[in-house]
Amino acid sequence: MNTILKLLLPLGLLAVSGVAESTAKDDTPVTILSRSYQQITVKTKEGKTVKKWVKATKVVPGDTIRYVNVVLNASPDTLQGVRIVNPINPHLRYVAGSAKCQSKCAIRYSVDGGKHFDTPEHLFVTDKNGKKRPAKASEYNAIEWTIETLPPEHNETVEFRAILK
Amino acid sequence: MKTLMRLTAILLLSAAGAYAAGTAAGTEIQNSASLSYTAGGSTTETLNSNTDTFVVDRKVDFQLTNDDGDQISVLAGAQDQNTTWTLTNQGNADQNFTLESSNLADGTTAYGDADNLDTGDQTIYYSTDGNTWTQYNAGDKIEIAADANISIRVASDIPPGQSNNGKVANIELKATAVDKDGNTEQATSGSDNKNDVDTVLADGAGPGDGQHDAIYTAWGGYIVETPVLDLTKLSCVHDDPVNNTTNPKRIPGAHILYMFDINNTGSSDASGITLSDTLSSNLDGGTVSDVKIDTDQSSCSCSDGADASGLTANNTGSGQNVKIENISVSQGKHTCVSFTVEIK
Repeated sequence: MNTILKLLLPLGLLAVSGVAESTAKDDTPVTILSRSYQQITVKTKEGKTVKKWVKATKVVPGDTIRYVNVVLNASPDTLQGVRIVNPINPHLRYVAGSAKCQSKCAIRYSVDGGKHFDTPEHLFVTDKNGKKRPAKASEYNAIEWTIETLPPEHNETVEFRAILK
Repeated sequence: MKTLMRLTAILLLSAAGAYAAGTAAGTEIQNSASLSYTAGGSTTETLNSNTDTFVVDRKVDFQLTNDDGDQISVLAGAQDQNTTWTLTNQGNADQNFTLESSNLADGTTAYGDADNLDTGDQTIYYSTDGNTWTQYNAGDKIEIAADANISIRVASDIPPGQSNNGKVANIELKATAVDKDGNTEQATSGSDNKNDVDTVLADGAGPGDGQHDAIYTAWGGYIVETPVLDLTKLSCVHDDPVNNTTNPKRIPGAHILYMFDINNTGSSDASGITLSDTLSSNLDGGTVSDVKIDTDQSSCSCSDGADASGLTANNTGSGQNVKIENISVSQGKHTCVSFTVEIK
């Protein structure tokens, strides 16, 4: 637990409720955690309006959801070819350019439910008339992040945003 | 790969219930990621994340519009004059609504015209198909499915009296989103449970309400446009038995041409007018002939004994009572009605 907490601290994710306690329950050396957040506007004691991300709970159509996946390597080994795949729920519409990772990674997308992944310029869909055209970001239905190595006692965070249809 | 396919299948199964207005309230939105890697050699390990789940809350969102585009033209004294409206449920769940119509206060402007008249006996009707209309009674709850809309009519009686010509009667229709007990919907306050369906008010602001208040108002109205008719009766000699049509004189046996100048100085067309005239006993009612009606004239004259040149009409009266029916007068125009009759 201490190790995992130590890993999460640099991410600044402990400010988001629910992450730390869920992580602590998992004793496996390599884990992946998925969490959803939504942005809300709150007023500070000084009366200023600020936006902050909180656990996604009060979500209605049109709201933006931020999905964060945290890979924790609590093992003594360096992980090679770390590949994270996140299907996009059909009720969600991916926000273009929102897929990111904490460090260096390659990001590819799928428009066939995760069977094949590629970069945006190589993704095509077939329209109603049978015509092939470049896929829109809103048509992506899975995302893949690839990280070359993840050293022991390290973590990696990948994320994306989507709008609830 | 099998794991990924299984996860995708779960997500696809939950795709049902999506509306144009948004994902249906109560829908579970799940997310899970998979991880694969190689460690300590060539063996590839695969594992899945937890499944993050939240339930879509209920978004109360709707819009009420007046569909007339302007005040509708009505006649003073007209009854059951319909204004038309549309109420659309833009939320992600079925929703109950109540309706209420009212006169706007004097001076309240809708469509650029200030109110200065109240209508009476406003009755609301609604229809789900545009064909069958149901009268709405105060307190009734109308349930509208997500994405659906209803058509609404507000029928009003217009106060009589020519003095109301040009006056404007603006009205407000108010739709309120209510719960099953008829209480105005309230946003769920406080912290949220991600597994419960809470209520979020997302309705916009109408001209008489604020946003996110479970109320939507729209304004429409009436403008009284009453025709105002002036009638002038002229006479001239058409012919006599001595001079025929050359400088005829009003002698027994002469034919008198009566010309009726009907001038519409009001703000709307008039139709269905009946002209009644009782002839002098010195005239032979049995000789009434050449009944003519000229519409859309700038004036009517009887100076040379010429009758109207327009449509031939009938005298539906009898004896000394002349009656000419179905006369129309356009707004700002004259209609000339003429007939000839012989002096006894």
